[in-house]
Amino acid sequence: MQFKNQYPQQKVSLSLKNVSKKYPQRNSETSTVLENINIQILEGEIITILGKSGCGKSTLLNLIAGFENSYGGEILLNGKPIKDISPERIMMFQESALFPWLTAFQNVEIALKMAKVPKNQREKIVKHYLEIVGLSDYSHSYIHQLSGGMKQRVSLARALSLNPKILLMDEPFAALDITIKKSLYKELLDLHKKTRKTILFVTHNINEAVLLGDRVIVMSPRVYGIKKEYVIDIPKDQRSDNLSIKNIINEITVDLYDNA
Amino acid sequence: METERKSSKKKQVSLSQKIVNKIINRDTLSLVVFISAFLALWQLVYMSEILPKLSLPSPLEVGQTIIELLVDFTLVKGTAFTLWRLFVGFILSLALGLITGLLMIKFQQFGKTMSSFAVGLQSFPSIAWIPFAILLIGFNDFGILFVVVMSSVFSVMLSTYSGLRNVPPIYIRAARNMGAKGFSLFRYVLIPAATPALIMGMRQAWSFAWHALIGAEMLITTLVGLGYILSVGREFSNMSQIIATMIVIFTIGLIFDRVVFIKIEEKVRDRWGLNQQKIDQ
Repeated sequence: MQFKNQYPQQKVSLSLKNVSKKYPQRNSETSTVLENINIQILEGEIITILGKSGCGKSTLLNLIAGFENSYGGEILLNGKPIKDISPERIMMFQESALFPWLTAFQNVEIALKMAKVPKNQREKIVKHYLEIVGLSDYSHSYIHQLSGGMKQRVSLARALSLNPKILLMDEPFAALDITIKKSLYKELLDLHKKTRKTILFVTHNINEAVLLGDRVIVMSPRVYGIKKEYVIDIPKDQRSDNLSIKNIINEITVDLYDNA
Repeated sequence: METERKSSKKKQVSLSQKIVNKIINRDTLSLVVFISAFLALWQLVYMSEILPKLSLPSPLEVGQTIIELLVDFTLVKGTAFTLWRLFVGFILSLALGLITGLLMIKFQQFGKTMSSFAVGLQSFPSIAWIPFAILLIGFNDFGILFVVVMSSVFSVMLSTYSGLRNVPPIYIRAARNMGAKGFSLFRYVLIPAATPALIMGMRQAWSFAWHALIGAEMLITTLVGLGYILSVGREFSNMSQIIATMIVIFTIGLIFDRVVFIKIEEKVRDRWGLNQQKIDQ
């Protein structure tokens, strides 16, 4: 593993050791999706996983979230093997997984209810996180009254309100148009600056991966896993219209679409 | 808190206004026109004397009969008893249907088997339960209730079952990720997510219960109820009384559908954002 530890004082948050995933098939054979995956994520890092569809990147995220329990190897969070599904590892989905029968406020609140946060603390937490994502004025709107970008911001508030140890984002911005995406990148990075959450961000969009990640991990279905890892050590606020970023993007593009 | 309450109050006002607008508007006007045209046609047929007067009384005579039956409390008492039976039967169906539906989800094999039975029984003609109910239970309210429940419980059961099974998996995933399991998953996600389906099932169950009830009241004689008034009208060849009772039955059905169910459905559709009209506005 060749990567530079940008925050040397910080601990390892998530580590994957030799993780593999095989699905059984009808004719008693198995099909391999992931093989020999090794990743270490430090606390406060944003790691983006980049790959075309079918490379197993969503499967990997599902394993980390605990949605699937049978896999080879080890997944450790803060040194302890992960068990089952847990609010410690919150997933944010591509489609909005918000509940249409609730308002924005109630959608965040219900997360706290489910996580058994005492009643008297809930309101404060909900208000805080809705403010963070800039949706205080839309607290009482139902989900269908919000735009796509707003919905994902509510999702983000909901995820953050549970104070997870790691935030798993499964192409959360894929369905949004480019201008909204750009403003959400900025918001996500601002938010990250404030909260220093560890984020694992899965995407098939090269620009997105390079703009957001401290490191970009490129996955390929041919090798059932990680093809290459790029460390992006250019400050995140200087990445748009940056020449070396453009070079990295070109390099990754070649990597991603080249057969090898 | 203060502003929260205010805004919810505002919402309620506008919602009830919407309902009032819905009732008193073009729809109501065209209904009035339609009914007047119908009465006019009826009067014409009556005056043409195609049918003997015994078979077809005039609208006016029927109107008089309605007033007479109201004044001597026959209709009032009948309506009260019928509605009471409908209410009890419907509540029983809801409770039984919901519980069984939940058990069908909980125990999958039971659910599979029960759902095919329920589909068969749902389309079973309600009137065909009556001889069975008479011999099993007898000529009393319980016999009637049995028929009502058997005719409507399966709609509730099936809509509960399919409503819960069709909850989008992503909601369940997200909820489990947030720490919900078992009862809290049911309470916070599955039940609310299945609500639109449940309401459709309830509405269908209500109309099945209503059909069954009038039939049962006609055949399981208990000397009271709208169905009984109908059968008495037939025995005494009193067409005025028959039509008068039919009008009452029609009106009750209309009121329930327009007021009760529209209100509930509107509210749900509004929240879910299923109201296309409102989005367009």
